Amino acid sequence: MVETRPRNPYEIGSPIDDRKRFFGRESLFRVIEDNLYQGVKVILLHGQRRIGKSSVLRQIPDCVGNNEFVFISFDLEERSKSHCSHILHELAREIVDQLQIEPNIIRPPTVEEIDNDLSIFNQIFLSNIFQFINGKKIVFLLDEFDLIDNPHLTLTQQGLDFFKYLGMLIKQQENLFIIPVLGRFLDDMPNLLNLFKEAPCQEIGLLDHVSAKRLIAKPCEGILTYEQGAIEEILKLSAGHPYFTQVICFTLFSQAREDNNWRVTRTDVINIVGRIFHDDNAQAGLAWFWDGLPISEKVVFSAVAEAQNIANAHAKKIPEEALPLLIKHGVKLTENLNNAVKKLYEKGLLDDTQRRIKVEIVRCWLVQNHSVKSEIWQLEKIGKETIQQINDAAFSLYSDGKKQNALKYYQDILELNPNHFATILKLAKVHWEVGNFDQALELYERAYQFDPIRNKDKLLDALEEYGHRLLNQKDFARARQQYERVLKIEPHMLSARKRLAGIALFQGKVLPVNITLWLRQKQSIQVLLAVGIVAIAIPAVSLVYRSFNPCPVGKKEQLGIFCVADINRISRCDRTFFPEIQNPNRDRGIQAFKKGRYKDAAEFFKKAVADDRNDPEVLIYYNNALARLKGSPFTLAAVVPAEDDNKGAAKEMLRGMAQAQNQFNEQGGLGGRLLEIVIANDGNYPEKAKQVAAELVQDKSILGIIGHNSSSATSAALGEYKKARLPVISPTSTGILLDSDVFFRTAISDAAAGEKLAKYAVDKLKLEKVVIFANPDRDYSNSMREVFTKEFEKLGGEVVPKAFIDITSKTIEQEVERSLFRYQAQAAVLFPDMHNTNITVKIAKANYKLTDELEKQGRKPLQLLGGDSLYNNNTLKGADAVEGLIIAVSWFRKAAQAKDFAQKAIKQWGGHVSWRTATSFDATQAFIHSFSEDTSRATILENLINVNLPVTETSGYPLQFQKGERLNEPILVKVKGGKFIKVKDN
Amino acid sequence: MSLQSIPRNPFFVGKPVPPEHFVGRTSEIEAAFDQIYNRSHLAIWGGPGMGKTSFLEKLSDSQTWKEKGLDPSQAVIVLLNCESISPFTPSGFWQEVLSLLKDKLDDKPTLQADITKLIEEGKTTKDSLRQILRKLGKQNRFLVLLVDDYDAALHENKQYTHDEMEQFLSECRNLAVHCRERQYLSMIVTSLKRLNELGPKLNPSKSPWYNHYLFQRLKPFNDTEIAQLLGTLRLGTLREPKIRNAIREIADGHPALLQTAGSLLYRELKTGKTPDSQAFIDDFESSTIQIFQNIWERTDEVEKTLLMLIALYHLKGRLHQKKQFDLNGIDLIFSQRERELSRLEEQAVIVHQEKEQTRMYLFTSSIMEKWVIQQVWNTDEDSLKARQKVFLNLMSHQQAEKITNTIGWLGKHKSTFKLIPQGIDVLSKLLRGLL
Repeated sequence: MVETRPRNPYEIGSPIDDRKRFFGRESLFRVIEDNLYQGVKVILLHGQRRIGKSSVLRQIPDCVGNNEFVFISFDLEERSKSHCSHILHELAREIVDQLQIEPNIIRPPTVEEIDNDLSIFNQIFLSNIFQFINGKKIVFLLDEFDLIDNPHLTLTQQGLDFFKYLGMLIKQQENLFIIPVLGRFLDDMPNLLNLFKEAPCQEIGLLDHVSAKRLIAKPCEGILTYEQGAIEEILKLSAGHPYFTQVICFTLFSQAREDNNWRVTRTDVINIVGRIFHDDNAQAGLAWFWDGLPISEKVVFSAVAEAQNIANAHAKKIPEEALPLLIKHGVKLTENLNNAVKKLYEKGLLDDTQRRIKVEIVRCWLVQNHSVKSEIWQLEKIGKETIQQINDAAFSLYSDGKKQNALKYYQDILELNPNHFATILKLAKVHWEVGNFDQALELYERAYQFDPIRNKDKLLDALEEYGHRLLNQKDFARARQQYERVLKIEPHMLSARKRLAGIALFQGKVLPVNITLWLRQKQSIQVLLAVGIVAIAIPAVSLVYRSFNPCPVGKKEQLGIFCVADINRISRCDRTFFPEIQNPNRDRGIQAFKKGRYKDAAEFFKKAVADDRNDPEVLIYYNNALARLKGSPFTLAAVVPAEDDNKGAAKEMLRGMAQAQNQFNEQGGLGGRLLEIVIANDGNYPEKAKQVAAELVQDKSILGIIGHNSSSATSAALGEYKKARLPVISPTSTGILLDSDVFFRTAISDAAAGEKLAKYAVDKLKLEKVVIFANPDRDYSNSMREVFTKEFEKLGGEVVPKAFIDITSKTIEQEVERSLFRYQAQAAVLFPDMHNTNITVKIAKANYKLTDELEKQGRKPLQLLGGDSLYNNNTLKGADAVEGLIIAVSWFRKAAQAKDFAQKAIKQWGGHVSWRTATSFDATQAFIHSFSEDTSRATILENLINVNLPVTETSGYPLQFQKGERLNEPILVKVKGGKFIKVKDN
Repeated sequence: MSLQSIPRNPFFVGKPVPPEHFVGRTSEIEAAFDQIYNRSHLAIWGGPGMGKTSFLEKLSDSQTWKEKGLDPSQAVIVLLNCESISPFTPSGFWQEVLSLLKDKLDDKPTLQADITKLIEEGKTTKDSLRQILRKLGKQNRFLVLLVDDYDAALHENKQYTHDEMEQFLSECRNLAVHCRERQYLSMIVTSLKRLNELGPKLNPSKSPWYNHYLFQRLKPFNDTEIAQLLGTLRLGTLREPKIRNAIREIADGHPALLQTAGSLLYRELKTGKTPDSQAFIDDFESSTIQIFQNIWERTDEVEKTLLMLIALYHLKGRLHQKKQFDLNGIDLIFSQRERELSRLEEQAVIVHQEKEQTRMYLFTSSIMEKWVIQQVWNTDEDSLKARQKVFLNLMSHQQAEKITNTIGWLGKHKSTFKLIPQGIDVLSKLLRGLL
């Protein structure tokens, strides 16, 4: 199959030889002709790349002069490294070749001959040529003449380069003319202008419209028809630039041939631009428009293109100036940048307004390929090497702590190149560190302009911090400015809104409407009003004006400028529950963690642990930071009673969890994920426990709960957990009423403990009559009492008086007396709840006081028995009064089984640990061993049922659950010599 | 369906497509003949596997000339590959051109003798070729010089210095633009990138060495071309569009990938076995790994990072609910890196779609996407650190940290995912249905 479709008549890339395919330039030819006739020996032609210079040169022989001139074309394209003698030899060959002179008539001189005697070229060879052409004049058409500025140009032995020689030659040969053609801007070529000072200079520019129209329509006459609108559109795009006109028409022709539609409309032309860029058809010519410019001109060129784009979008005819646009992008205008517009104009790239790019298609290409925001970075290259050296010096000064000196160096760099963006950030940092906040902020603002994506956070941080500082100085007006700036950049920034609201309140001003609305959404009106009232009465109330940033430990910000006690009950490393412990590294860690700087946080917490290794909270926070750093942690919540007298128990529990967490994380976690522990405080108050639970279940990342401490608290919370199917393991709640399929415990239940105690009382101590001290309002207390009573009575014992004595009774000493003397009790069984353990000592002392009196009756004081709530050092403070006290516990550190764990714990904490630590460790371990890669609350619940941990994984005893209960026997311990010891044969 | 009527595998894997099997590229071929007709010059460029060599072979085939209404007897067509001149040197190049030219001139023994003499005298220069061109011209013939893998001439090597390169390129431009013999020459070169991105930097005192070429990018095949190529399978009008869509997922319009997919499909159909999707994909991957590797190695660090981000971005879509995947703000990074991304588009690695005024980037091939994810998985600690530096050039500190964490997390959990490139399931189902 043979297609007979027409070939494309438009030529891209090659000079036009064919007279019929060449259009325009008539006046240029006339000027050249006039000059030649007037005997002007040198006529310089110059123009942009791809403007058609070589084509003009090709046409000169046909368009200029009568028979009077002989034209010799010669180009210097490949002569950049050539010796002058080589070039002359080549020129001589071209002359004989083009004049079709046989070598036996005139022979071009060889390189050696010219080397030996330079005059041979002129005096012998050229003279012969002139003779041969019989009085005609010779015009050298010298293409690629830019080479004249090439530093590599080699000289003749006489010290002449080709160009100087040429200068001499035209002076010596009357009938020799030259027309050099250059592709550079003449001002850039001082050598040339020195050599040919007097020469007229003609620019080869854009085609006039008439010629351009002919160039468009003529070549395809009879094949392709352009509608008038199409021609106008082509002219608009190409501005008469011959190369781009050819490219546009070439592509239009291809499209027409493919579609077999030989009529070109305006729309066709508009649509063809996309194809030209997509196919890359114009790239060979476009590249020069960019690559040929120095950096400052590139940047301004792209800014002009963008300014024009903005103007087009707003249908404005004359665009804004380019330079202000650069300033908006964070660029400082240097002399080069300021001059660039003029330079671009002089190079013929901008039109007379100096705000528009001459050739529209070039502008379209710039917008697509060279946006201002990416091109400004080229400015960093200016002065690169020197800057590198200064920068190195600055950096080492900075590292040595000589910040002021480093600052000076960085300023020097910016002096050298005000647009060295990397230095702007460095300088901002140093300014900040030495306290020059205003200067630092100014630089951060600039950084935000030149790279909003990377530098927004930096600016916002700086503004907020500066705002804080200004608040501290009570400079409310300026503080407000900082926060307002923050909101301008990031309108949803909560912290800034809060602070602005705070400032407004503090100053007694009316809140801006948007902030008022926001507060209404975020906080109840009552809160707002309450704060408002408080704010008016500031000096009188307990609000502490923030004198420091951040708030002191245990306090938190309110409305941005006040510090109030932090009553938040849940901490994700954002507060401490133990503000009484002074540990500055902990506080720094908390600040870093709050900002999401986990790496820094981990560093601080690590130091905090080293500073106070007894504090479990910091070890947990340290591990939490690591877990966040690794990403996607397993998260558990620890609920402990971290207030009032219970803080000790809270810490004991946290130690066990921290130890297990630390061990797990140190071993790399599971599948690269580490354990994070959120700490919550319920204070052992049931109603608070319930609130905390309700909040915890909402956080879907929390996979399980370790806690709560007291049975009452656990009981109050359990309903929430059950609803959310969130597994709970309590290490300390032993109450018998705790029953749910989401509930597990690692402590021995009261049922087991009560039974064991009752049995021991009857079997070993041979007791028949006991009194029970208990708190009827607390689950633990009540359940212990119930179980003990039941078992004791079953074994034949009697509880007197019926039921129990309220341990919270104000007349507790009298109750002891009454028990002994009125009820004739042999023993007192003490089941205080966690809030009332200290009453035990009172009871014991009252009992002990009566020893002498009892001895007179041949009786002994009450034998003391108790539950694990007594298993702590406070109990031992009862000294002699508590000697002989027997209690049932879940874990005893001096037991052989527990030794390993106890040792490890000493190492970890620098002191002995309690049973709460052990059972908390076990609880955490149970969770850890229930994790899986696709872990969820549900999978953990499933896995917990089957947990079976050997003694090596626990605090000393195997761990297995049956219906949530731990399958271990309680242990009986006794106070002897002021210490707890294990009761033999138990 | 009559499989018997297909004589042999009409797809070509790992080698150029013979001219008689060449499909598509109609407008590019037209442009090439326009340039040849005008004795102008063409620079074809495109990424690995885009069909550059096949394109040149198609141009060198006299049948093609006849189809285009041109007389092949007027032209002497010389096709050479710069990679075969090893190491590349200008004199090696001119010698290769001269000797190949000589081989094509069996009907002109005197010219052959002239060339032999030039070669024997060691005059393998541009000027020698110029002499021969002049003689060719006198006999009303012209040279079409088809130069494959021109990249080799645009990189320095031990025997080819920067200065020599500049000189060589000036000679070529002189031959093509200035000397009078240029009217007997049309030169067509191919390269992996645009010529202005290769070779010596622009020298303001010279014309750009490449600016006489018409550039032409080889793009991925369009729908028509894909249909044309897969048409050889003769799948029937019902099945063909479905199979084509499935193949598009793994190969899109990438010619070499399409050839591979076509070839494997053909094999399955021919043997009549029930196609095993896993075997198909394994075969496809192993036959195309070189292409992916090639593409990957040719990207710079920023481009690699962007590819990873695109892969992660789409992986996130597939692993929804995994909160470890925190990629907020990635779109913003993409919007700042349009230039690099469009470069990747030009290499046919990715494509973009406009959705609700935002630009979405997608991999052209789901297999390439899988390949990039594997690169993410295989990122060890050290390379992750190095990569983090690149991240910091693209995004804020916090974003970089998030993404580093995500990659670390992915690496540790790779065993839990099974990556099935999109399109494979559909393809295997369709294949089963075919038999």
